[in-house]
Amino acid sequence: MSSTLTVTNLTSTNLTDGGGTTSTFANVVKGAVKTWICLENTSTTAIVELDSFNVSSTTDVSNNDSQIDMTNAMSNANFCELGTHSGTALDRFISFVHTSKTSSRMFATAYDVTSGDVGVNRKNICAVGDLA
Amino acid sequence: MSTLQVSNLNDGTTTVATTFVTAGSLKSYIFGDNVGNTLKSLNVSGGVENSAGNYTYSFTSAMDSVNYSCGCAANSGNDRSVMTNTKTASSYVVEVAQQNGNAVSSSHSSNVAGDLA
Repeated sequence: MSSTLTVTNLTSTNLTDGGGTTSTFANVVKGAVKTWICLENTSTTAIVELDSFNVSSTTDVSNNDSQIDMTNAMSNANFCELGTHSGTALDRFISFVHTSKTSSRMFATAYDVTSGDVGVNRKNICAVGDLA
Repeated sequence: MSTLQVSNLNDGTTTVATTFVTAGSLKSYIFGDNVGNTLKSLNVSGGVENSAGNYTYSFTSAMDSVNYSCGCAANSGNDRSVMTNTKTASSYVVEVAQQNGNAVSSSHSSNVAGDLA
């Protein structure tokens, strides 16, 4: 017989899955990715958002500098960004621009080692940290 | 089978909506060596090095589409870039290269955020 128990707030020290693996609640609460997005910068004026979580909007700031705005803000601007590009060139990397980073906004730019900014790229971006 | 539905989780100090745990927890990760063996992994059925620096990892439980967020990094060498490629709902490719664009076998890590099928 299956059953469902609905709870509004659950406070706990540990969480154990059906296989018996236990994690502390602190790791679950703090360690979950708070924002993720898979996007494509197809030109200098448009971003195609392929899928995302906790993203309110995206903006192509300039030359493939992708601005990502969150629906629910982080506690401050000192959250951790993770990112990788998907494309055809092997000498590219993602750089996070911190000049205008805020608790609810981050920027990811794709660079080519030889030619600098690249205008066509697919980016995979995550944010880890505490929500406000 | 029983299901516990919870709106918010609290570890004694911090509260977070359960949505951030279900939608935000990593659905897969690997720490792989230079020949595609997974030294540590979650939700990965296998890895293989297709050619120098080109690795395919398959999920045990598939994602809902190809549009998940997949990050990766090289773990050896100070001149290496990494990218993901050829994503499907059930596998993805990690490619490691030196700064000159030449593919190179290298230890690496990757993580997958998104929705399971």
